Amino acid sequence: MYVSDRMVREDVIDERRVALPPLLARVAAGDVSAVREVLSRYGNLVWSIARRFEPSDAEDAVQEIFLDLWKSAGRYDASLGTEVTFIATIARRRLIDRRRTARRRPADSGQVAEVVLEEVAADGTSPAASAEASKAAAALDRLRPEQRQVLVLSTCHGLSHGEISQQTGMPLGTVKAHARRGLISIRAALLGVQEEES
Amino acid sequence: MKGDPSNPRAEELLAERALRPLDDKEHWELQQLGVDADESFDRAAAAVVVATTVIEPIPSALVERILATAPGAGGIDWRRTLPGVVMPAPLASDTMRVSADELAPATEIMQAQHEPEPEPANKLGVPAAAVETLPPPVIKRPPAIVAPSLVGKEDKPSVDPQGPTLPPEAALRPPATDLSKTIVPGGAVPAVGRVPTGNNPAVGRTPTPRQALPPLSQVPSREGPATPPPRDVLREGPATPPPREVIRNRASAESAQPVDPRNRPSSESPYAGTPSVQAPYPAQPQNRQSSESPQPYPPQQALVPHTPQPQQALVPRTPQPPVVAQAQPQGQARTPLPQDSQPFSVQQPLMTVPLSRDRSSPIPVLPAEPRDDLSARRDIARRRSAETVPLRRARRTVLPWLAAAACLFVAGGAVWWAYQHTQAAPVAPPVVATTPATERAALLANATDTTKITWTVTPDAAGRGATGDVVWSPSQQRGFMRFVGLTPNDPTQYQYQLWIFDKTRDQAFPVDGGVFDVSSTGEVVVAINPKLKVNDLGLFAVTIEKPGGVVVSKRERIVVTAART
Repeated sequence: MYVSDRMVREDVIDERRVALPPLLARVAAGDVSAVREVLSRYGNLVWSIARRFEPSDAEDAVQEIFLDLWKSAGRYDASLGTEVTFIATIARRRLIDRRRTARRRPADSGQVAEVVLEEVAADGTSPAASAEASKAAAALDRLRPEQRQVLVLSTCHGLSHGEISQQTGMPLGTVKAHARRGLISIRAALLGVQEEES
Repeated sequence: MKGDPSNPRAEELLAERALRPLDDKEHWELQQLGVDADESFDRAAAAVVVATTVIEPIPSALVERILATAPGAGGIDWRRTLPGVVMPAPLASDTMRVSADELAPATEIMQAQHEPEPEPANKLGVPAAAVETLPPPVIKRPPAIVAPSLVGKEDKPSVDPQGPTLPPEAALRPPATDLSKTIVPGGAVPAVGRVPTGNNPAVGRTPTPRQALPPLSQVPSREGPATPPPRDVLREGPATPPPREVIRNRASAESAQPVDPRNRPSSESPYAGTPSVQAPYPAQPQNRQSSESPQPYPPQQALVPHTPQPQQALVPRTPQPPVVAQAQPQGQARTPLPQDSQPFSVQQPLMTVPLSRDRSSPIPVLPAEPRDDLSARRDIARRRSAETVPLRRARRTVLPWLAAAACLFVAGGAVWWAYQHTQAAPVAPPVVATTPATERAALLANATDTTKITWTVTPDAAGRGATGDVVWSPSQQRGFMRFVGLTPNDPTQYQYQLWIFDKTRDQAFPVDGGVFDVSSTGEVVVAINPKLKVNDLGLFAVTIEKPGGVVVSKRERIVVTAART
């Protein structure tokens, strides 16, 4: 039995349209109902990210992510970004730490490079996208294909530069340059969003 | 201190931190730049993750587990618990829903609270009052550890006919051995094999009134011993010792007739193979003179008296009942001792006399050197040196030379070995930097069967305006392609692939000539690396394929061709 995905999608979409009251501040204050709301709103997103990084051990990873989130909820600053991005940042850091500790590689990294471009094209308007994510998707579309491929492999699949070089056949220096420049472009786009909103 | 994230180095480090873990040096550099608190790049990476993630529903069981460890779930203070540890929630109220007032009046409750709890009398929790009403414990004593004949009637304390009143722990605990009580006053050494040991809890110990032993008649004979009997008791056989007078007579008779170890039969003595025996150094006459024994030793036996040894004390020599030294009460006259039981002085040094030595011959004694006679000393030294110096001198003179010769031999061998290997080592040919262009020129200059064919461009945009040729040597099965003006490719998007059509093979499956890239529009020379042998060359064709090439080309984009005429 799975939690309904429909509710989460609606919540995230609503967050993009209507500014929902922040939940993490209530979690930091010890509000039990806020914990349940966070889980129902962002649980699927965290689960999906964990499944992408660690398909075989996603459940433990998700538990660790939420434990980290409960402890770090007080650090959330709404002026710097949305809750979705904050939670995704925590999830990504935790997953990278786990992979670094276990020194695991993606289970099927050989197919990663092939599906990346389709993912970006299909998920540019992902239901889970917030305002920042939408801008990030638009910025991704503006990147060169090789830059986009390297950036997605690095940020979404947790591959190291060397692994990306092996997967794509690009020189290591090229991989580093593509990843760095692509991320700088995404950041510039996000900062433009914030400047416009402010 | 807040730095500028637009600094190129800071931007680079922040981007790297969002993509991979930084090392310590990079962390330090980021702190020095003052931008380590900037998380904008991390948020950008997270936004990319959110934008490209396909949402899947989270399992409900996982949600329940997360809620169980969430803050506030079940009253858990999650900040004070380990991750994943679920502690039981405290009870909100008394689950029995029975108040203390309903059970007893308040005064009784207060009295019960102020009354001290009775302390248990023992570890079993039995009250002291109950212990007092219990009958005294009955202690069963094994007959083997009882030595009723060792204590005289005058020494025996009054025995309670009701039985022993010892506490259980005192009855079971082995008594500490008091060696001063086991040795007969006056320095008499007990006979061999009769020394009581600490393992024997009853033998040789002066009974105390608290540890009174029951009479022999009261001890049940069929009960097994609680503690194993001592070793000599088991060997002696009968558990019931003979009367006291018999033991004393046997002891005196045995001590009066010492046994010489040399005359003892091997079957009787367990120490027949002992290489040496302890013998006193010259016997002191005063000991012999002060002896009260009416039977003096013969001269030979006087040199080697029978001295009790610790090992012999463990195993008796004869199968007789144990004779145990008896503690003498103070003020009682000591029984006259035989001569052989007189102790030797501790200060006397002992020497080991081998058994193999012929005792009939006198011990050789070196003549004392006259200390004052220097001339005699010189003569002795001269005589000794005259006997020993030549041999030592020969050794001292030859050994260093031998060692030096060995060292020289080893060193020479090492030098010779190194020289031989140096001579035998092949000289590496000089490394000459080769490029495909030079190799192509060498192939054209050296090979006699080379074929040079000019490229023909196709309408494909990548080969528009390209020129060049291909050189092939059938005998060496190698060749080179030369391009000028071919469009550079992005290896991540597509690559060029060469196909060699062999007339002897199926034209639908040309030989794969390898994948290559073009990095500039200038002259590019690429070596041909055929995967199969080309028997009869027909055509070269270059296609555009996906990165890494393909096994079978669809021939959708043919860039250039070169047909052999």
